[in-house]
Amino acid sequence: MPTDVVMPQMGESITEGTLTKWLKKPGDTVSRDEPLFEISTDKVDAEIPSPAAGTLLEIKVQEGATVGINTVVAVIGEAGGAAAPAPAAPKQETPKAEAPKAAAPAPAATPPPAASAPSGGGTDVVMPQMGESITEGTLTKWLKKVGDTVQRDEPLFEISTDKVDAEIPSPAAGTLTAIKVQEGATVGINTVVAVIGGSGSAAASAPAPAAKAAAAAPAATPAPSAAPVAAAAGGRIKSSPLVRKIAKDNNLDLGKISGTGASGRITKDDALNALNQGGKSAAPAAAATSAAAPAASVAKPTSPAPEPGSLVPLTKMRSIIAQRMVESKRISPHVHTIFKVDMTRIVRLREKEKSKYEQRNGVKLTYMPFIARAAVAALRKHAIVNASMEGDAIRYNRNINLGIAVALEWGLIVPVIKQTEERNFLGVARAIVDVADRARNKKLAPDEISGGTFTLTNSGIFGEQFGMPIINQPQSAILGIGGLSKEAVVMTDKEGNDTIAIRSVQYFSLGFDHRVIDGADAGKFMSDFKAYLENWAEDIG
Amino acid sequence: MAVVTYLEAIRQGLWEEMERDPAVFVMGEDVGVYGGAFKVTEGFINRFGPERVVDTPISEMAIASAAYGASLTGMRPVGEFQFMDFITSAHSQIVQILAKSNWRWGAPAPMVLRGPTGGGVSGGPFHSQNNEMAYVHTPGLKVICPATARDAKGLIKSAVRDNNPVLFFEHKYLYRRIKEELPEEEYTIPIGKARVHRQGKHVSVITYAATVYVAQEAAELLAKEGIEVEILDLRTLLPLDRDAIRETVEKTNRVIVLHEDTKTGGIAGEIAAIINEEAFDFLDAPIVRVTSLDSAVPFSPPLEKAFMPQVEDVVRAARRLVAY
Repeated sequence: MPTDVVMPQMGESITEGTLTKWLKKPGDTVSRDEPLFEISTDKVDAEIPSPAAGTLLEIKVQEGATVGINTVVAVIGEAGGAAAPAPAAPKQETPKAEAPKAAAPAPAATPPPAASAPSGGGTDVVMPQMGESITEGTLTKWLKKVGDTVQRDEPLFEISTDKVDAEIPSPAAGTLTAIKVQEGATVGINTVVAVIGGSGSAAASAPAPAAKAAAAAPAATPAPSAAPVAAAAGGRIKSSPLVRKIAKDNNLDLGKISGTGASGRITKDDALNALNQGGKSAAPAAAATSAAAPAASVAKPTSPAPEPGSLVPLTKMRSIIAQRMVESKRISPHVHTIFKVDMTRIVRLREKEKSKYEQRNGVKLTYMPFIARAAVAALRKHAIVNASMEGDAIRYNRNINLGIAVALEWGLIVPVIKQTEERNFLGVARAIVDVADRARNKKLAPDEISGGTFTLTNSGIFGEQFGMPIINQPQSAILGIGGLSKEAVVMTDKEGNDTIAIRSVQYFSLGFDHRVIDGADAGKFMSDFKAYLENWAEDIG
Repeated sequence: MAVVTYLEAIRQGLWEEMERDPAVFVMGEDVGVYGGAFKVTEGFINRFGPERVVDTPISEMAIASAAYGASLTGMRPVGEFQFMDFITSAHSQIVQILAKSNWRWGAPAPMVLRGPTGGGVSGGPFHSQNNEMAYVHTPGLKVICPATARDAKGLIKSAVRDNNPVLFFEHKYLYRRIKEELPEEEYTIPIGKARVHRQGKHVSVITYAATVYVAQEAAELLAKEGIEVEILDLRTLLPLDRDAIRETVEKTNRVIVLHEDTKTGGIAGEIAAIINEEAFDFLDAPIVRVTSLDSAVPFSPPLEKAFMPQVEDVVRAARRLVAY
């Protein structure tokens, strides 16, 4: 008799957990109490032991997914028992846990049809959460039986919870194809209790993973187009009263807007963005697809290549860039110093924390805030790198106003985060995402693109080792961020033995103005910057 | 004017009103010769005499009743309850007689009942409660809970001048811990008007009394993460400033209601209902309540801390709301 393995409740007030890692795979033999998977919750991270001995038949919830307590995450069967069909898509996925958002080129894309479950569709009906502190409900009575036709919002079943007894309406119209929870059973909130429509096969059909496309590869070009719509196939669209009002007042179709909020909810910003785009498929704030680069370029729209032999006039931005670049090279004698930094510690930290971090803080955890914080720490110690030449004197700038170079479809812009030294890690992370996003949406204020004292520029996303960037006048230095890659590195242990290890490394190139900064200054700055990253010890929040 | 404590501000307000109007007098346990258990009326008996600074027996019911009687004859009494926890001894008088006097008999009862309320000082269950909601629930009364020295002085003066029975809850944790520079010139603060304590744009925290400072500390931490918190200090609980509540919801679309009172029956539930009725379309996230637990107030310091809302609770709630 197969045993269901469920997401445990690790504390009285806990309602969900994130499955961070499977320690076994389908087909493996497990002993009772042997560690089976790892979870992360608000209060604690833990290894969860197997409730039974046997063979792990099926994994139902993937790594990174967040599910309600008591959700079945796996099935263990008799030793040597037949494995169930290929693991189904996760239930109740909180998409923030998964891959980065797809960058969205503005008008062109329409959302692909809402993803249907492998078994051929159908809407999951779940145990609803009737109050903030409610974690489970008892299904007291089915008002329909399998095979009955149901209308949308027609009462489907009755439940009883701590706080209230209620009739639950059907989320969709169709035929009730499967009842998964019997009368009298008590299950956790969000547990699938029935299926409407679809082929009615026993495989768990997950609701369309909302909002975030899982596609984005770590390298350059972001996946095209907005993610699937916020609605589960045929289900309610998650939004809010405010969003519905905005939609109603402006004739927006919520079904066409991607949600970037929790569980794919359409937020106020999503609605307002959709409004600005003319109500078509929304371009949610495109966070970087490359982990290292919020400055990743949005995929250039497919404009026709210039005619061979044609003479194309310069755009305003292109002529300004041309002028500034020449000027900068003329004013500052550029020297570049290149350092290789072992990023393994940070890569591991990020892998471990990224899904929780995003859930907890609502912002993606990329490499940029790590790099920015290290730069701020080094700039504090070596003020000359944050200084500017003013006539015959050197201005030691009071604040560190960090410029973040952002590649745009139509050129390049460097928004500035003022007083970056006042912000903690999370504050820096948010600020970077915010300015990059507003840069792409042309929402920067004039004082946000001036006043910078040091600039970060990321050219590594295209696969380069390192670049040699041009200084952003009137600053005295610029830090080029190279591509993150794995290399065989010689490491010396405490006893002095050398070994070769595979490590994540990244090259950083400091371009500096030799009128103001000498090689020794630059070397010391970069040495501290490197040490800060290699020995990362800051709380990321 | 010098920088004064919240307690001193109340003392000044009372003194000024007694100077201004001979009908105003104070009564309560130890208010006269002793100068008040917390020294709010220190020096009063020397200045105003024992007929206007009356030491009473230990009976809150008697204090409330006698003050009511005096108010019917044209006096404007200010009764003190040594701890507002003891207001329960006067509950019948307050609810049945004071609150209904004008409604039933056309007889206004211009009086104030004031005293220290709230916890955070290891006062134990009988000296740390927040009892205001029983009276917010009673039409005919006014209920005031100031958070700053400036508001405490301005509001006690307005309370004395108001022709209704006013309950004035002074938070004992704030008595000597907060100080403010007060205006030189005379001023009053209107009853029934909230005050924006901090401007913000991402989340509103609606609160009053000591938790205004919990919200402030949380706001400072959250500012480092780029979350700008707006804090609305209600100041008066009855009548509630519904316009101010609506305005802040319209501005930020995300609300935390924070109070030291226990959760069930605390004003957060009432405010959540009001927002639902009057500003539903402006909500981009559910309303969150951060309050004390439904329990008697513990004496033990770590238990009391676990019982009362802490800065981290507000910070976490704000982060969750912003990520919703």
